[in-house]
Amino acid sequence: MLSYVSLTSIVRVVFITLFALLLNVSIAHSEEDVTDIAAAEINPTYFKYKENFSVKRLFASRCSWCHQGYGLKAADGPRLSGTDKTKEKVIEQIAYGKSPMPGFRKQLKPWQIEALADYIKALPDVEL
Amino acid sequence: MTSWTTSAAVKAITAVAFVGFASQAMASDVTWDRLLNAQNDDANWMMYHKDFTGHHHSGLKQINTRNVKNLKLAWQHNPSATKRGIQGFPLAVDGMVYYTTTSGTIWALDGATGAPVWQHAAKIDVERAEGTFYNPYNRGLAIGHGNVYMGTTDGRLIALNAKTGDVVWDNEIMSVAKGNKGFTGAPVIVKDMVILGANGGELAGCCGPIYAVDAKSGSVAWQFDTIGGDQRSRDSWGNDSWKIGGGGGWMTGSYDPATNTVWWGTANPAPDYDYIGGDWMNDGPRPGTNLYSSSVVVLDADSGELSAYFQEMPHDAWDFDSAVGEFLMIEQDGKRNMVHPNKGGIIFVYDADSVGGGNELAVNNAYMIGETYNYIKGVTKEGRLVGRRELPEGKHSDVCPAIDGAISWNTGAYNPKRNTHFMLTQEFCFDIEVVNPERPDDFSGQAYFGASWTSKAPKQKADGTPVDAAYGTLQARDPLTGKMKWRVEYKYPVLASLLSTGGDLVFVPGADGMFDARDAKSGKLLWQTNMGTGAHGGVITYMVDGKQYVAVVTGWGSHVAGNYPGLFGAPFDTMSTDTGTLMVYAL
Ligand code: HEC
Repeated sequence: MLSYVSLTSIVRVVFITLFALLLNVSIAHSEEDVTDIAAAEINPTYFKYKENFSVKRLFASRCSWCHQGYGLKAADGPRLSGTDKTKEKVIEQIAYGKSPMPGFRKQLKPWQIEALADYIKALPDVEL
Repeated sequence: MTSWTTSAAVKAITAVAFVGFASQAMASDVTWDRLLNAQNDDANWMMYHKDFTGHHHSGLKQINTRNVKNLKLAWQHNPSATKRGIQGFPLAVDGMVYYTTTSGTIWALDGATGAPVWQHAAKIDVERAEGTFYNPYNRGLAIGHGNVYMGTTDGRLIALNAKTGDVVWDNEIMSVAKGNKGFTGAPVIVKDMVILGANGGELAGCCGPIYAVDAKSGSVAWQFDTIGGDQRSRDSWGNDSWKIGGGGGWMTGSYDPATNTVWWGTANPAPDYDYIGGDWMNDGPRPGTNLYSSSVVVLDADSGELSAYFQEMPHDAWDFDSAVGEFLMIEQDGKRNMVHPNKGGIIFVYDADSVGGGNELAVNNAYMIGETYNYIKGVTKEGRLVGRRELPEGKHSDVCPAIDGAISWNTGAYNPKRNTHFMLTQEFCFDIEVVNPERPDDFSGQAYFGASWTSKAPKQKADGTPVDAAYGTLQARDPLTGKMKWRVEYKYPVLASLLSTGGDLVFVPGADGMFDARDAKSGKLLWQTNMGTGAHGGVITYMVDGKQYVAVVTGWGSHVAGNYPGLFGAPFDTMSTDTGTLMVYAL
């Protein structure tokens, strides 16, 4: 977990800046899909690992079976937007799972798990 | 050695005392001959589908249309925590009832009183089991050759002495090397073998194996790979995509003694949605028809060789697999038909004798029973899909039915006297965005979906009738022609299996926990009781000392059930997903 935490602090500054940006964006485009807005905020942080990285694409191929609406709607798994878990706890949940949610630590790279956690934490507390 | 002898002696004494409490309940051996003729033995329910006709019908008629109003709780059994409810079919043999709860716990109870006789909790490799989304499901048992058999979510098959619960053998059957992980379905005994299939549709695992395991020794007698097992299959998956193709046969199939064949349904290919859309024969993540995914496979029972097949969903683009385990043998006018429901809401009627040589099964008829579908325009009598709605990369609104299908793995039932097939449908849709998912490593067994979605109510039926809420149906039809005899609408689609009885009743364990008995002739509601929580498992009937019982499992929480709070709100928004009970009713 240490490695995740140190990575977090490195990108924290970037986040704060992006968050301010996000607020402007969401006011300007209130009609826009909030999952697109969250993803647009997160994706560039991870381009250094993968060109054109798309966190929504990753979410759709691994998480969508149980978490509907890119995390905005409860189904087999709970709604993820507005989670009261900290980013560290979200990372832990994705890495280790909790039955019936599988743990993804052996399937996903640490940066992919962190990207998903960043995306989830970037979602506004809304429900589809 | 002295101390060992002492403890063994104590154990023996305890065992005897324990059995003493269990009144008359002592199973005599369930031989292959008894299983083969199980349709003539209505006092017992000896296999998942009761017998090899697959009718889920018992001739018992002590409880009937006239007196069912007096049906009441005889006993109940509360196992400990049952995450995602109980999903299995109980078995009832010679006065004993056996059933499984989540994570592979087996209970053996006195069928008349519910008194525990023995219990066995399999130790599960939790990490391996939880590598799939299909946990901690367990859908039941097979009994025979003196043993009770159960598959586990970590890939083992366990044989226990039916009388004592002692472990006879406990073998790892499935290797994780090709990305397969475990079993959730109930095994079925065929001769001296135990047959069961792997879970895994949308996992990047390979070959969806179906196993025949020697009932005495626990060693694998044969294995059939549903994908990649023969050249025809490999040729139907471009770019070697069979190596990550899913295709597990995760529900319990059947056996046809007349042709000595095992009939089994297989799961969808991975990824479940295909971003390439219409050009799927040439391009995309799995170019080709993807044999034998979303198919029925018919296997020679002795060798496991492919005797015949039919791909119900060629290049399945909707996750409408054929894993439904129900195969109804219906003989009429000298013709033997095998009736098989598909998740896409289609009933296929196969010519049961068109087997041998590994060719396509002949289809006598095929018809839709789902009502709100729009993923196809329909199906021909020859079983070919018409007017496919492909789902290329991007957003698609109001696709019906949703991933959960119009028919789920729960069984219907068939009353042979009335020639009436009772079937359930679930009618809801989704908005879906299909993506081009990253291809996981070959044989990795990783999650491999291709979309995100949100379930919603249908807007209209296929015939254009407007609809304003999700709903379910109970339909009574002639299984061969599809002609409707009666139809009842359920506010909440029923996810449990059905039971038909000689008392002219059909039993329906409801999603909201209401347990109904209906008149087989008219569908009229004759009796109803509240079981306290929703049901999505099995229901059986049996007789002990001249008294008929109806046993049903309760408990809620699954992939399909997960849609209900969003679709309906109460009572599902507060329904527990970690309880479940075996409820037993009698007059
Ligand atoms: C098999 C279904 C399933 C899959 C696949 C799945 N989850 Fe979950 N998820 C669940 C369930 C069920 C829970 C609730 C577990 C509990 O607390 O009992 C959960 C909980 C969570 C939570 C905690 C939410 C909170 O506020 O407590 C997060 C975060 C999460 N999932 C993220 C993910 C991500 C990211 C993925 C994909 C990498 C994923 N899940 C894949 C079923 C699933």
